[in-house]
Amino acid sequence: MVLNKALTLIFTADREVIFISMTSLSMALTSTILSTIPALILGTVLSIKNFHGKSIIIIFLNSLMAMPTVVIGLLIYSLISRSGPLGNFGLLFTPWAIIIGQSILSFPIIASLIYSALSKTAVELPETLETLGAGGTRKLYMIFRESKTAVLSAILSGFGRVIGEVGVSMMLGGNIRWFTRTITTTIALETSKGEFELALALGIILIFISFTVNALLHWGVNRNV
Amino acid sequence: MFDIIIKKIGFSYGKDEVLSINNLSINKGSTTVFLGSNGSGKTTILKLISGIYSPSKGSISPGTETLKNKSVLVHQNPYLFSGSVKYNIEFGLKIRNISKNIRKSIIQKVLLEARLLNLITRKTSSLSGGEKHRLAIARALSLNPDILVLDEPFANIDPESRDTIEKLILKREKNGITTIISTHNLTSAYRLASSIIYMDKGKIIEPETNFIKGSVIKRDDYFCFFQADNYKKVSPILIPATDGDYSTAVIPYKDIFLSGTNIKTSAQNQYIGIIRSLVKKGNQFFVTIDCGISLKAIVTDLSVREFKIKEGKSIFVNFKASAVKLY
Repeated sequence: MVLNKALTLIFTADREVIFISMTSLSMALTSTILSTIPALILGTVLSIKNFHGKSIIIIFLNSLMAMPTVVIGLLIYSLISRSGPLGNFGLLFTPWAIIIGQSILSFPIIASLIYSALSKTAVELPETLETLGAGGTRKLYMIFRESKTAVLSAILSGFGRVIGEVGVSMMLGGNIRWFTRTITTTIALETSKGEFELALALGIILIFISFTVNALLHWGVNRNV
Repeated sequence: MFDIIIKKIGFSYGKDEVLSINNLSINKGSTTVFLGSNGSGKTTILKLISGIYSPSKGSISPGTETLKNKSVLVHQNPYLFSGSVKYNIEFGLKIRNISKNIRKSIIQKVLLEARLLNLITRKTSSLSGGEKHRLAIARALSLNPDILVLDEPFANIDPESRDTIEKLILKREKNGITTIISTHNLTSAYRLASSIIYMDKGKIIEPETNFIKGSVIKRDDYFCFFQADNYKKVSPILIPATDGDYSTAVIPYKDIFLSGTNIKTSAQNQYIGIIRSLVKKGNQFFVTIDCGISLKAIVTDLSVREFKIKEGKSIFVNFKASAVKLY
């Protein structure tokens, strides 16, 4: 019965279901893109350069990977709330607050996994590139090209972390209907009210999004191997 | 083209010195083979010669940067880029801004030589081990380097691929490319090398075999007559009759015995020579005798005293035909 109603909400393209799904997707994609750029730079620098404090950064990144979302939410909340140092920007309970929180959430995951992927590249790859005459940007491009599966997996892991998180969205977005309500905050809210139809419909959509992104990635990577 | 001259180099990983070589010269256009067990330093010396590593101390002439620009290294487990066979060959050529038409003809030529032309569009992930090795060598050769450096090119490949790789190397040697190889494969090493360097624990060690380049000039019912290159006045070495095309004779030092007089024994090979050097290592002596060709033998302290072996003395060198192996 509940499943029937949930499927009806999906297949009749219920306005609220569509809005919530699009909000979640757009915020997760934006935050993933925003965190990927610095994470890519940091992951690459960590993998190809040796410098003082590198180990500490790696330990710090790995620790941040396990940081609970509510703690990140709390930290950002203290910064952007009215009394916080960034309170004047009026970011609290806006989609941008969620995007900032989710970017911070996904950054250590993507950076750490990219570092790990590039570090594990066969030692023969950089040496082969050098001996064939590839240097500088071309060498870096080829290292990424050859590690693309692992790099894309890292980015996907970051996306997976933010699309499924509740803490940051709830604390920084406020779960405001038609504004900052996301799939996960709606599921939490509707379930607490005992109304499962919308929660189940959104749960199915969340699984579908995860599956689609994974399938696209898998197809894209295998096509070029 | 240039000789490679190594002087007092060392290479360390952290605090551990893994390679230490006093003097070594590699002539331009030669094929030099490094032989040694795992961990003997073969790969390290190859990476130093190809400019991938810089020595921790000492020098390699003409310098790391020049060596890097003039050489191509092929790894024991060659890394092939994802994509097609053609993409892999074309990669280095594009870096060198070689025009499309010339690129095309180079790709055709090297793939034909490496017996890979029919696989030109094949993805590298679907190649066999032997095909991967051949492609990596073809990729290196397409760049026409002055120095070709091959780390264990015969490891884990089929005999057919080994023969193809040997032919590729021999052809380049004729074209004057300096080839440097590390291998465990004695047969290929003896067949290809113009000089062999034995390594152990990061150092060059004394070989224990005489290594003579030449050819079989005559055969009868009992023997092959092997004539050393550049020593036409020296009598051919007798070897038990065998078919085949050979370019190298190998005689272990321990199978050569010395005599003060021209004694009659069952040994079919006997030469008279002059002792050029006598070097004590451990409890034995390495004796170098100039018989027209240079031969080395190992003798004991007792033999040195009994036969009064010393530099400049004439001595007879004897070895059985069956002690000689042809490659």
